[in-house]
Amino acid sequence: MNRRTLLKYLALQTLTLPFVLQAKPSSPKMMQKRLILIELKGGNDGLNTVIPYANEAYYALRPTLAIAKEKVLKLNANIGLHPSLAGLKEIYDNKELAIIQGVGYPQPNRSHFRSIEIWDTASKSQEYLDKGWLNTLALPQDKSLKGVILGGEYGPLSGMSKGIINLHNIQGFLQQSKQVHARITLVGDNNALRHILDTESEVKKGAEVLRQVFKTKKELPYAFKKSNFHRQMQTTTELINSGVNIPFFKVSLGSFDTHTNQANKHKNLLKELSQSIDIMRKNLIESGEWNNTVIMTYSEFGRRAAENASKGTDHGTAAAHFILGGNVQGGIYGEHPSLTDLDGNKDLIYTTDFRNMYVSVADSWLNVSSAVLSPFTPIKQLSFSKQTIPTS
Amino acid sequence: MQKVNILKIVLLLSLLPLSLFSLDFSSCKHLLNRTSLGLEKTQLESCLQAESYDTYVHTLIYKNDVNSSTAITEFPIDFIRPSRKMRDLNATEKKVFRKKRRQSYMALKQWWFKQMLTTDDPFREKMLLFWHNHFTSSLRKVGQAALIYNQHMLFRAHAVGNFATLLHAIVEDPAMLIYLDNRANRKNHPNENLARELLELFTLGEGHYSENDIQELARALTGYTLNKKLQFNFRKKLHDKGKKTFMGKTGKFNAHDMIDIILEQPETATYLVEKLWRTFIGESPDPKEVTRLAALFRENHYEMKPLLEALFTSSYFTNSANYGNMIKSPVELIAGTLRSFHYKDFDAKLAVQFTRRLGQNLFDPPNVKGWKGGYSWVNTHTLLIRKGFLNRLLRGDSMTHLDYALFDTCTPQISTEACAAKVLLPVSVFMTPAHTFKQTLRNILQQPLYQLK
Repeated sequence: MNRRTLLKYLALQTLTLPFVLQAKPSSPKMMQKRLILIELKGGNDGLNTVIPYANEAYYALRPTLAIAKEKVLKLNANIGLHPSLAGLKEIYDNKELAIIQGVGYPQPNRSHFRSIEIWDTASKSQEYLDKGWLNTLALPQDKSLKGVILGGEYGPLSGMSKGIINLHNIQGFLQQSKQVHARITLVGDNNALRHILDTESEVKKGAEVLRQVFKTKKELPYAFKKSNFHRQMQTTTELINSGVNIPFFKVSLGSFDTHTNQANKHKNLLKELSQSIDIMRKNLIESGEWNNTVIMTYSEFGRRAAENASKGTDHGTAAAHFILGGNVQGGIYGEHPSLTDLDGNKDLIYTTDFRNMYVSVADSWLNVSSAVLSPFTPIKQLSFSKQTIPTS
Repeated sequence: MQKVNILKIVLLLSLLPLSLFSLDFSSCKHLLNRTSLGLEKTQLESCLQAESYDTYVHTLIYKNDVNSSTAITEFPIDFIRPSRKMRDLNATEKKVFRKKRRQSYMALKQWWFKQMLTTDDPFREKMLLFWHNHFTSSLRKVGQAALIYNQHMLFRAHAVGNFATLLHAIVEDPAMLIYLDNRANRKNHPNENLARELLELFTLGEGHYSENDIQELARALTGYTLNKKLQFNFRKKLHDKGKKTFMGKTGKFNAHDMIDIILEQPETATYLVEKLWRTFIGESPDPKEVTRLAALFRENHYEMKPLLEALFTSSYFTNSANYGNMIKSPVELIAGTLRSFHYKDFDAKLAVQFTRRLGQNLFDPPNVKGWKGGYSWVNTHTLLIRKGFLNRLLRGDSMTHLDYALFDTCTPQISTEACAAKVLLPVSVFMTPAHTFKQTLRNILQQPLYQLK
């Protein structure tokens, strides 16, 4: 190794600087809009989530997997929810759940990994971008805590190196963070070293902010159940109730990749989704934070219209998604994709672009410019202030 | 604010004799950091004593060629099956059955970890990690530790063998056929899961095939299934013998015919080389060098050894500017650290739990694409667990198991403290010794550079 290379790596001296508190804990009553992203990992079967129960074609496509008409939680004369989604049905009845039908994109890719990349970066089908879509919005460029990842990849928040932390348990995080002594070191072009140092500094910064508000552990009024996903939702709820202003949370449920014997697996996953959202909502209503919260689901794709020979479904295209929150104007949005007019691969043809969903949330909820997502426009009539009622 | 212990890293430059930087030492260290698990005294010494860098690379790849898997103890396990049909068991019986199955999974994970901790040929284990992450299968889905073990032994046999042979074998591997749902892939009722991943993840890579190719390959794979003893079984009746058109060719192809067609595509070699590059060299493969290596791979009919030799002697691998610019995987961090301190009786169960918490649950990758690796290994959550593991090793009872023989390999001899820093960190830095040896070790292990290789 030569001297120049060495110089790139080493600092003559390392020192520590006190981290300046950026995100001051503030009163929980203050208006702090936040977005919770729920990734349904593996490709959720939209047709068995939001069910076109009045359409005979649905029963023809799904001889073993179709949900019987009488079991569907009916929303109107055409569609209803999977029976596991009782919690969501209640929220729908409260007019706080928006169902966006037929969400997808042109030239759909059926690879898990490529398609989730398209969703995460809000790219076109043939376009390769490296930043998560939330990272392309016009967010304030300060050093405050912007997001917490509770499960899965960084996804929509990837490429945002500052202000994102990944944690599973608040007390554990605070305890363990004591062993990190962030140092300032010259790293030259060693990006791996830079990544470690950035991570150390995020730990320090995150712990400084959270330590102020988590001096004692408080029990939530409505207890979550014991599962990985419930744990993610519980920690999210605790962070929100602490009053720290964090705009983005990401949780992850699945695998929804149900190629074989789908019925039972799918039922359990949807139940976990619905129950944990229900518990989170009750807790947030209690703390007065529900009106500042929007939850949005997403997934790399829906599944093929027809079931396969293994009582499962293969990778497909469009699917319904949920946007909900205390200020969300509930209802059914967009057109249901046709079950008879399918694409060349016998998949559903999308009716709403997923980027319309993103623009809605950015423009109408977070009030940040989503110019990078132009020419996509918000979903028609979807409001986050409960003033207009969609006629669907 | 808590008074923080300040680590002093001082530039070596004029402070230490130049011979410390002998090319051999740093290039040996780099080679072993990337191709081995931790550093071991014997290994480091045999590299230092080798005639040249190239000779040592050759030895590394070709040694123990025939019998390296004989060092492996067998994993004794039968199929674990419920006494009756699962749905006929009562709740207690189900619980007992599930517990037994879970224990078999854990036993298999520990078994592999123990191999990695004790083997004389850690390079083979690195290749096994590569193949496990290439042809992924998971215990969770497959449900039989014995089948995952058999698949692992297939990788062990072909770890540095021939890629084409392994690819032909994998479509007849019971664990793979279960993992990617090929038992459900029948004539007139295709299930395209295996076909899709075979093209996207095992050979050509995304964008080098059409949806139609997937459907035709799925047809060719019909009938590749298992018998009741969970052995591979080609069931003619379920196989679609019809004419298929695949990658521009038409014929009554079976899966092996189509694999031969896939192997004729230059993208297959390119895809494999890029994947090996990301495993051993770094995040951004150089297109020109990839082309050269891929051509060599094809000329050698997909033999792994010449390719690996070319890869490790490539100037992109040996370039000192790349020292320490990759992040250690959880297994590399844990097994590697334990090997460097010769802590061979470390509790394998605890080690396996740590790798799982760090995101690398052996035999249970998150999905068919395997572990993403690279920078994604380290986030605020996992970094804290990594540091916790390293601190734990230096606790009283644990510390008595540590062996420091490695730290007298530096020539000319320097203090144990200085040598520890030199050997353990991927880039040579000098660290001011602390008041106690334990504190010095802690400073080294808590150094951000220790996370790198």
